[in-house]
Amino acid sequence: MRASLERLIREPLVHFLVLGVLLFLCADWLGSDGGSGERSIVVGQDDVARLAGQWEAQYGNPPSASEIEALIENHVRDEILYREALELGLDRDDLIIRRRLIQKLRFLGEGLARSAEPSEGELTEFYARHLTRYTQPAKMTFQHVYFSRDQRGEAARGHALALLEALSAEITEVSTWRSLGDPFMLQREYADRDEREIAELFGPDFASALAQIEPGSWGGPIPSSYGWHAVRVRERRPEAVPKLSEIRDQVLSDYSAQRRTETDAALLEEYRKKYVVKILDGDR
Amino acid sequence: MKPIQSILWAGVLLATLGCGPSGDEATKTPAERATELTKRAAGRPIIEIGNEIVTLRPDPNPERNAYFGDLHVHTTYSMDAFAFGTIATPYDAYRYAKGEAIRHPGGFDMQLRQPLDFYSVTDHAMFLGVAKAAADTSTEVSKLPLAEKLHNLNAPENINQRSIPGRASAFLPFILDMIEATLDGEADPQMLLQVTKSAWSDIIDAAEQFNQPGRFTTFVGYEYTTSSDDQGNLHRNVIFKDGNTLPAVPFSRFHLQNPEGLWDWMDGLRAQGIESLAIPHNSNGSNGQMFKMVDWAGDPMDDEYATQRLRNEPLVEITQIKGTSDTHPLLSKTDEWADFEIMPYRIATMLPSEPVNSYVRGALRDGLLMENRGLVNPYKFGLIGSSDTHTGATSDDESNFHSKAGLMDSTPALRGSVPLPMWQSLFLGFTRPAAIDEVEGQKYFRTATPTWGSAGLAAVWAEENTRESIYDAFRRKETFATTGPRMRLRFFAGYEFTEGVLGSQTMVASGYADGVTMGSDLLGRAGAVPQLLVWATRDPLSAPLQRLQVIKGWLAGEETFEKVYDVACSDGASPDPSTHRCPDNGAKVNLADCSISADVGAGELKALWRDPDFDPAQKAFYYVRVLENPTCRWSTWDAIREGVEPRPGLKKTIQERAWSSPIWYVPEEREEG
Repeated sequence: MRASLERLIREPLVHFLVLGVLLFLCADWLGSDGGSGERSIVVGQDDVARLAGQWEAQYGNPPSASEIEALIENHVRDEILYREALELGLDRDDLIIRRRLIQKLRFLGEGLARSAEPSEGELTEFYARHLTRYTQPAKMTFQHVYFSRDQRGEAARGHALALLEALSAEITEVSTWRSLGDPFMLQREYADRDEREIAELFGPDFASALAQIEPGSWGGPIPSSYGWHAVRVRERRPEAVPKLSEIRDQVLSDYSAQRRTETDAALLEEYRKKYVVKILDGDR
Repeated sequence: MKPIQSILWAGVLLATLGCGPSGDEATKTPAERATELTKRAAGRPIIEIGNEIVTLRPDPNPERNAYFGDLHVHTTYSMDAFAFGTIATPYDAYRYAKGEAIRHPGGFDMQLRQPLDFYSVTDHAMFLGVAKAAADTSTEVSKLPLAEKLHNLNAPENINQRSIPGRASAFLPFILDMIEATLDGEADPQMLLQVTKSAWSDIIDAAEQFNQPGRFTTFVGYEYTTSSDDQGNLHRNVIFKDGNTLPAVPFSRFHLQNPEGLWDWMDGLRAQGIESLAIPHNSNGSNGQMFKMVDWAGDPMDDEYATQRLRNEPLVEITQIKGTSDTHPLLSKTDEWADFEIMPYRIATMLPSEPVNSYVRGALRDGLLMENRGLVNPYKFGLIGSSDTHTGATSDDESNFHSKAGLMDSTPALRGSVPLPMWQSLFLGFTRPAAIDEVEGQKYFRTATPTWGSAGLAAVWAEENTRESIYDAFRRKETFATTGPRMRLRFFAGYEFTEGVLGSQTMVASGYADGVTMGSDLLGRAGAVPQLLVWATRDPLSAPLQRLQVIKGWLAGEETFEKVYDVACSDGASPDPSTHRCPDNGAKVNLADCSISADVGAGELKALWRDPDFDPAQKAFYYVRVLENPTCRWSTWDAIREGVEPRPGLKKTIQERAWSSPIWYVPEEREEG
């Protein structure tokens, strides 16, 4: 009896059978609901409703019974392929999937940033900290009489000066200013232009000199890229900072943009703590 | 009636009608209250209104303002632009035109020195949006096997120098495969059409969103990109007058290779109330095809052809990044400034382009020949400049040239303006020796780009900055072209200008009242010599002006001729009456740092000029050219920044310039017999 048992143990066929049974038991145990459950595909009524909803959104009418059946079959097929692909590790080293996952994680962060509406105090503080961003440059409304350097040469400045004297001595009627000096290609008066815009039209020297002219009476002369000008600044609107209430939407959107960047950076910083980064010296 | 009284009495009227306030004031009649309140206000305004000026839409100027723009801009929707790494959308392009910075695919910011007044995104209609869709792996188009080589082409990690060879090799096969797949029925034409339609409607949306009457004008447009069988460029930009009613799909090379079909299509749209015009460009690269004397079929042009062409093509683009098409030194041997930014190749090749019938001045002359044969002149066009950028961003500043082909010409070495870095020249020498140009011992990347330039702008004289006003100027041909700087140019012709007109404050008013302006005909008048009133001013942010010229073309017998006259000189000089040339004003450029002579040159130049060779019986045209003092060419700026010598064989300096549309002199009809 003992000898026949020993013979049996040495029998390859028996080895094979025992191993088979063991494998079978193992696989059954791993695959059952008692385990992690990844081998079953459960399609619940919620899923069916979602699939039907997508169909309706696309085609405008609810799916028929046979269409629902096909939808479910498709869903199941996709799910199987998806899981098999994961099992084979096809998600690894794939640029598109990698980028998509990073994007999803970032969206999570953005969602966090968005959901946090700033309090009135936070918004005011943000606005106060970024006043320069919202400052509108000084703007000028002005008139000018032009004396061409190309027509009058060096005398152009003197002629402009003489006009200014005649205007202040009331020898020349101020109301005739439009008919004085040389014809000018651009306009003789401009409304509400900032220094940069004026520099584009007359040159930077003119723009900075104009900023020094007192509003009200005729002044100058000041030089441009074309010649000399007697000028009258009608109005100077100083650099203005709009009130928070006037630009609330803009400030709010800037605030959230900044929050998004900050949250993004903070999350990255948080995640980074979990890692040790080693950059190996290659033979570069 | 004083304002306060009218307000109060309006209130009374409302109250009587039963819609005014009621309640405890009901004991007094409204009329009594009104009288009482008028007394209390005692002539003072109730609310101080002040003298604030609203400039959102400035008043129209009857004497017209100069507005500057670009009518030739490609974005990510153009197939080639996408291949060059451009991800800028039409929205980005309009933001750039308004002065914001946008990103170049090469990783740096691009920003205009000063914002533009008008802008039109003109993407290639052929395969509009298709490359972008092919690269986006979530679209139907991307599922075509041939699209695979474009997948994620412009993903952030792929927009870099390393991707350049791959882009070059993926792009052309993609186009060809796509055409083949469409012909073979493997790619569904409906699917491609859908992509094009949605790109087109996005382009329209962007234009509508950014159009701001009085401040900034956008035009809906696109490029019809066709060529002759020998690769002669026949490209045109189609610009629509307004954005409300438009065709669902733009007419492209796919519909027809023959541009006459484009005009038929535009005529058809016009009959439905959709107004547009087409602007030919890069005639320089047309290999003699753009301004022929025969039609597409090779038959002599007839009046029907000429009328249709002129109706649809009142303007021509004379300058852009891919060279200037005024004239060629071989065609204008007596014009010392003809050798300017000559781009000698057929477009998108390095094959030579035949100069005859490829340049604007020759076409204007041939137009006179047509008239002489008793035919309608098809070449009575006005002039504009534009950029043809493929990054969404005009590149019109020599000192900040970012060219037009995105990644492909994003560095000086890739533009061929400086030698290749050692490792690149070694690598290329090994793999693609044909891609290297060896000049005086230095190795440069072989490309057409060294012959490209930083240009140009379209300019118009219009009452205000609106679509209507600017489009009407296009139609009147009251337009001029510049190579980038914002020079302003006025040009009138007539018989009754007073001798003092140049110094008169009413110069422009009398130009319009007593003459005709650029783009028009001046009719002959017995015994009278026409006066040309010419006036140019410099761009304050660019160089001063050097000379003002009139270019004349005329017909004598069966032949045409041309001549360039200097009509005003800088620095107080006058043209020599026999040579018609200004003396050299001595303006210099320092090639160590590109600084220019101070105190030489003019802020403005003007002249009341009579043609000394005028013959009342000869048909003629006159157009104005104004030249700046010399400044560094972009290739010199590139070299200085890289600390190397400018590439031999390239001009180190250029003279930026502007051209007016012509005025045609039309002799009096002579009595027959």
